[in-house]
Amino acid sequence: MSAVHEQFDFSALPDASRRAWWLIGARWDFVLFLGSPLILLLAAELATRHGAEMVIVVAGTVGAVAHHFPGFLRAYGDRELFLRQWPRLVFAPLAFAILCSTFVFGNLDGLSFIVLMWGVWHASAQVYGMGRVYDAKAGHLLPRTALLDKMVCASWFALVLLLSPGRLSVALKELYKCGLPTASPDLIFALQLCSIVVTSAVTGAWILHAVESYESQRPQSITKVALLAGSIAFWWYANIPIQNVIIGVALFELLHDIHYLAFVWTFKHSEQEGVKGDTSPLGGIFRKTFGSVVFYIGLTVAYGVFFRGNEAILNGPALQLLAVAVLVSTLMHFYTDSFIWNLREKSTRQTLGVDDYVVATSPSRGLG
Amino acid sequence: MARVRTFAVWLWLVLPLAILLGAQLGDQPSDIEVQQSLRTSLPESEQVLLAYVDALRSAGRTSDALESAKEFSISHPESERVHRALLLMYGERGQRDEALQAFDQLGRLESVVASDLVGAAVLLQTEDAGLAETYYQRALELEPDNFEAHANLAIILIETGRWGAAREHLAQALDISPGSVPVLLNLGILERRAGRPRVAVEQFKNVLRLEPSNRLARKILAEMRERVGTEDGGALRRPGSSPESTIR
Repeated sequence: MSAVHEQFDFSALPDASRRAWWLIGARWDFVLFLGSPLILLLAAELATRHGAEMVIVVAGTVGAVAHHFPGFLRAYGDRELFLRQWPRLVFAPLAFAILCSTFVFGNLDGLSFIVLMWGVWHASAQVYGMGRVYDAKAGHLLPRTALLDKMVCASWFALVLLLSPGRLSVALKELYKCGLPTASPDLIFALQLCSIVVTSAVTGAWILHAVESYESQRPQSITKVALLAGSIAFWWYANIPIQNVIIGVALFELLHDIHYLAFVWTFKHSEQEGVKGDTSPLGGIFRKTFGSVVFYIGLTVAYGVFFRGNEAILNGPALQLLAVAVLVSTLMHFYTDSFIWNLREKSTRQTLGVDDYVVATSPSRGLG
Repeated sequence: MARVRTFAVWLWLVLPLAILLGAQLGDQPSDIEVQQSLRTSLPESEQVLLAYVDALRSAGRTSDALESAKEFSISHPESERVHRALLLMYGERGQRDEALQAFDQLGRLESVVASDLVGAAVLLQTEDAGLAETYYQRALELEPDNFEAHANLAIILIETGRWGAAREHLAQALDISPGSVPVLLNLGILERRAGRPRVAVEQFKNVLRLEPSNRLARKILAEMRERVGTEDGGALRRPGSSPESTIR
């Protein structure tokens, strides 16, 4: 038994925290978080058979920008959070705007590579972060578990990136466009081999730790295990068997968006429930009514359609300006997600229904 | 701790950007050079090979593109897309035997699609119209809305005097691509050969409404005015062919 195990009296966990395994409820968690990879896989197979891949590509392209909006609602619509994080929330977009304008208007390469890599890390961190929330709700918060979860997510996402000819060629192309020297096939092979070894070792350690947790009567959240397994398997499916990199990226984007939209709605809904007589505009968006949910999704989609629609219409400097806006939105999404869902914040813990003392040593920092 | 994390995040962003920016201080690589580097790094990737071939073709280096694709097809005989690219490129260059060899490879892999059949049929049309007709018909079974198959099959049907079937295929071609000048021209030639000069004149006038400078339509119309009811002697036009070229 590790030292960390001994620091906790797990028998002291309140019953409520043992029961509250779900983010929304069993049925909706299955549909939106755990079963969504399977639903999307079936949708993708159906679309491929009926030649409707374009639907996936359009939905994924719009969703890639649209899902930034709920995160910004959290970042800029939460007064307490804004007061706490205002230097980051004010200066980061300015810094990103300068950076992106320099690259776009200066016709420089390189930023796409950074966005690509940060995007993969962000996708992996979201899966990890949601997994941590499930574990926290089940009262399992060993730092070793968190570390292994993070390593499993990061190593599998990196492995698929290196083994996917489509994804790897896109990443290498961005590097070569900058004038970096050509990587030999031997170097690529060595990196792939290294990644396979590391991922195998990490996965082995993760499985051993999960078995050990189970045997010592401190099992990890089964919902977390399902979320991690489903998301990683879908990442593999979207990038390895699916040869078309555009369809693959769009497919995983859809899963990422469904997870994110559902998580933000649940979070904001729980937060609003705690505020009696809330009459703010945001309170209306996150009510548990059909109309509110449709309005929330509609606003989010409208955000994506605004950018993607104009991309199809505009040209010249206006299009470049729009490209800057999309890049700033993307980078801000990646950046803000790394701190706005921080489980170390008391208000975040309370909203998610995670007990304070259990989370005290949780290393989970956020989704991004 | 929070400050250290913030610093780390920004460093994570700024450091690679600085490296990538620094690398751009030298000469910028051309698109072909980028694709060539990718080809070197990922020699087994079909997608990378095809992008490289495309870049070479765009730069007018068709021989190099063919050479690369051929080399890849030898080491990867199961690569459908590369055989398809070879069929297209050899076809464009008029290298009939090589193109048909690539078509045979697709047949061996049981992955022939409508566009492959059309590509092969176009190459066979002058020397083996019967086989070309079979290929067009098979293409239409696979893809009933294939414009080229309808339009080209109609040419064979006109040449062999099967007016009704030819008229039907030209009509379908026009449904898919309304206002196609070569199809309207062939419709005019068909009607003239079928002994319906008035309908033929209407079709040629339609062509001239869409393309007033169309020399062939003008020429046939002039001939028809001189010798109403005689054989047109006109040349059938394949969609996509240049205004000067004809298919007998």
